Amino acid sequence: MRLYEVIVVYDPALSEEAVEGEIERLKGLIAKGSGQVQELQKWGKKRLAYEMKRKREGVYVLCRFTASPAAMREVERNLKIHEPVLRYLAVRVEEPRRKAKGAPEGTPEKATRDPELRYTPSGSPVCSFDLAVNRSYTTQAGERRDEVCYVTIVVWGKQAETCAEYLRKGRGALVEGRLTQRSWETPDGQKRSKHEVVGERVQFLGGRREGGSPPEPEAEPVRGPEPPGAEDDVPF
Amino acid sequence: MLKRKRAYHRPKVCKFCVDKVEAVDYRDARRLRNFITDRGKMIPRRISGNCAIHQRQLTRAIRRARSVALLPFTAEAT
Repeated sequence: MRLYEVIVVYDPALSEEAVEGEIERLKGLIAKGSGQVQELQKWGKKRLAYEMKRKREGVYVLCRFTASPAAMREVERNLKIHEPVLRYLAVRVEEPRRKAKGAPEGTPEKATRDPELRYTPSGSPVCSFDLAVNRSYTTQAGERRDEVCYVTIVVWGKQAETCAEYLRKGRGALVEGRLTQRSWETPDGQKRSKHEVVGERVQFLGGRREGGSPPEPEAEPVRGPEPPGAEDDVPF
Repeated sequence: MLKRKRAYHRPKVCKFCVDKVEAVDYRDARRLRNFITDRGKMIPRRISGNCAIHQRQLTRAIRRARSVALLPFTAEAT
């Protein structure tokens, strides 16, 4: 099933009841292909931007519905041959582009604790922090629920130092990296293992706020007036 | 002497980005009208200053709007 949107322009000569009848016909057509109407807007009589079949006006109806591609073909075929339809436009409604992978709108991944910075014996910096990844879903009963997944992130090198400096509990970050497994033994001799994400690229989200020194502003160089004479010296 | 071709020009910004429009709507004829000339031609983005993403969406939107007579293909002969 796909989501489609159809705008139908009906003949302005149709009476209001006739238009209602046409809408019912369209609905029936969609239902026959086991589609579901999601939205129906009657825009009423509007002036056409150009003349069609010697007519200057048209009755606009917009309908959003789900249908299978095959059923959609049947709906379109009908619109095409149906006399009172001046013109129609059918488009597939596309999902808005996702902004970033795994980042649902409004719930960015947030650090759940302040990052910890350590150094290996050889002196390379390591920074670790936890990130809460939210996912909201709708239960069968129709409730909205949030599901949180906590991921431990490990960052090495120069980036570790930047993370330690700018990330704070509650601030958002987008991490790109690979999954690793680390196993160790607890003091009482038990084997434990844990999956962690080794961050290769960390993008801080959200503006600078109180706490910690602000990140470097990524301002574009301001184009001020050029120094006088600098350009006039060019000898051509 | 060099002739200054442009004394000062204001940096152009994409109007859709400014308004945080995610998808350009082909039904919004009033907004689309800002991006066509009096004769009905699309305004290139070097003039309007739109970003590439939105200009592409805009092109599509205008074409769709034209096909259901929300926008003219051309100015009408008088």
